[in-house]
Amino acid sequence: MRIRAWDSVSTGALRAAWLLGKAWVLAAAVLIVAASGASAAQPDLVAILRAIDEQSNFGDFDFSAVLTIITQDPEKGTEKFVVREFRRDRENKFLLLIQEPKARMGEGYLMDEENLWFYDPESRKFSHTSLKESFAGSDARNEDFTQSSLAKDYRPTGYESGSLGNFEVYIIDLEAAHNEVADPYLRIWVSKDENLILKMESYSLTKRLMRTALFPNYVKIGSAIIPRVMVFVDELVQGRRTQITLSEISLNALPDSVFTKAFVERANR
Amino acid sequence: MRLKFRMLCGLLLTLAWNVASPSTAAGLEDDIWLWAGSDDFFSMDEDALFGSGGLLTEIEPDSGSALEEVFLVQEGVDVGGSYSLSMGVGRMWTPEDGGPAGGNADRRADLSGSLFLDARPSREFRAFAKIKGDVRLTESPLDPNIALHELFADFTLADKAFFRLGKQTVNWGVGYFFSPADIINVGRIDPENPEAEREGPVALGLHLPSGRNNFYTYAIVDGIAGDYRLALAPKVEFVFGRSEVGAGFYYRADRAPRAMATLSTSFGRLSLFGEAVLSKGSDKRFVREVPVSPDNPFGLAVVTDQDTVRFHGTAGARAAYSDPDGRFSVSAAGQYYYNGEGYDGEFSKANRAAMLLLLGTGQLAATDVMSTGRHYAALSLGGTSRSFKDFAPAAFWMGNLSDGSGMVNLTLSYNRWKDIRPSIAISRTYGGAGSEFAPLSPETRFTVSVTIAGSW
Repeated sequence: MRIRAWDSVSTGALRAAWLLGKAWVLAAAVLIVAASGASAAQPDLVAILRAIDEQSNFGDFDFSAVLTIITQDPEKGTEKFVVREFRRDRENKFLLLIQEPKARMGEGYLMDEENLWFYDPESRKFSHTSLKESFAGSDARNEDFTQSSLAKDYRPTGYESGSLGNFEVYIIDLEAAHNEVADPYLRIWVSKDENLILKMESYSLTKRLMRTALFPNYVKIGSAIIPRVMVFVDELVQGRRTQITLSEISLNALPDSVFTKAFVERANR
Repeated sequence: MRLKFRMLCGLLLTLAWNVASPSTAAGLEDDIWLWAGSDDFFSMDEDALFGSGGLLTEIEPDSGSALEEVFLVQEGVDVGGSYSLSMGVGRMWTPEDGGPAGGNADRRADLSGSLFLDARPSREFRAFAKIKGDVRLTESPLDPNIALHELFADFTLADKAFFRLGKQTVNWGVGYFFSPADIINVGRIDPENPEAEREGPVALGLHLPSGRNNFYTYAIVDGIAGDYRLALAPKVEFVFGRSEVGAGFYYRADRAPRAMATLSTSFGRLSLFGEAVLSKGSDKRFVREVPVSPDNPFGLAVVTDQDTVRFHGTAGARAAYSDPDGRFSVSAAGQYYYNGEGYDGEFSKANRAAMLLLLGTGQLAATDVMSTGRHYAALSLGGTSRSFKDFAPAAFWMGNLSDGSGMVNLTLSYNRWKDIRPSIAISRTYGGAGSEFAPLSPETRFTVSVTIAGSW
């Protein structure tokens, strides 16, 4: 059942209005209940988005992990990347460096707040790029590696309750709050008990389904919760998908020098 | 030579068979896969995926060695490289030929490659060497060209100061097709292949990162044996919001001093960049028109300039756009360049023949007769389409806006295979006699080629 903010009228109020047979009473009940912020059963969608964002934030800890990225294309075969990710959420920095294939070792992305540079070891040049771009030709985007910011980037437009496998979920429709994000519209399946996104559908401006992301496994490390396995299904090319698996997850402090151009230049070949 | 060409064709077919065969397992046997069998390769059962519980696992952080070490320290010496074999047939004609039938056919085969050695025994030290080579196998083969591309050692002081000593490619300007601010590297950007490696100088470089800002200093050694010259080039980069601003200086006693500034920024999917350079005088020699005389038989006098303050500027953008429904994607790059060492109007077109004669007599150098226009621009477009996803069309245009000449290149590549890329291309130069891109006559060229390339 689809529920929107304007039709969140409690069953009790409806029954009372019907029994009285007074249309104006019904209207008043609708207005009163809607104005009071809906019934107790309605979730606070913005609070859910905030909870998702907060639990994926490593706060004072540095985060690093090995990401194995495997892209399957029905025609072009399989491509594998091994990438090291370094994140410092408190300073809004991350560094992604390709470790395998060896031919592309040292290629990477360095983000420092609003600036994202792509480093090409071939030309030894840094160039400004966008979080919207795909990562190394896979179905993942650069923004998939940053900390979640759903509450800032999107506003809820509706929701419904449902289930996905064994999990009770809220299925929440989101609309972009600005044009800095890659997806104008999202639909997310959020587990009711732990606020974990299990599934995410990305839609274009014309509401065409572009990509489906699945998050079947999470890990809690320290106070943060992050997906350990991510699957991105390209909905435009049948059979094309990318799986990302995290390993060697660490919260050890990283040297400041890791988040610098100097480190990227040392790492190249 | 024909035998050699046929042997290369045979090699090409053999490599094509091997690369195109479906044995690209990519060493995936040991990886975790949500879909293990080939039968469910293109299917996905979400209920099964989320049906077993165990969604969340609490783990202890990995307490092993620092993950960044893998990029800084390694045992032994890493060896790698790349190769490229490009073979093609072409036909070139001019308006005077009356069409393709009257033109000339040619065949070519270019073989190139690189080899590098990389040693990283500790976090504080690294040594790197790279050689590059190429050879053109045509009816008249050219001698192989093998050269040292980079040879440097890295030293780190307290993880704060980073030194690089030796022959190195320097990250200096921000321009894509043109980079007048790149006054350090020996090699110039090839606008037709702007992302290719460039040869750098022999230098001692110091890089001091400070937060988001960077400070660099280079001491560059140049010259020939017995006559070495030292140049100094400091540079700073500051980040303001979404923009990065750079400023630098280049000084060598016998060269025109130069100051430069760069800007790079982004808006959504648009990357913008610009450079400005001021030089006092020029390292080039120029010509000016004079009456014909026994001393100036071509009507041109060669002059030098050490006093005029010259400005060079460039600005450009790169962008990518994807159709909202994913039907196609387009990437584009465009740039304008104001060349402060160029000639106004059509001066160079009117005097190019005489300038080439002065080049022949040694009064001008090759660099003096290159990039002679005041205004240049370049544009490239590339894209992919869902309907024709194996084909990659690309277009490139570059023009000398001062003399009205330029070139257009249209290419269609077949990119289904990873290491083999067949392509067809048609290019055309335009401009009047004496112009930079069509000095004798406009040329049209049609090429069919296959490139086999890879790296390890």
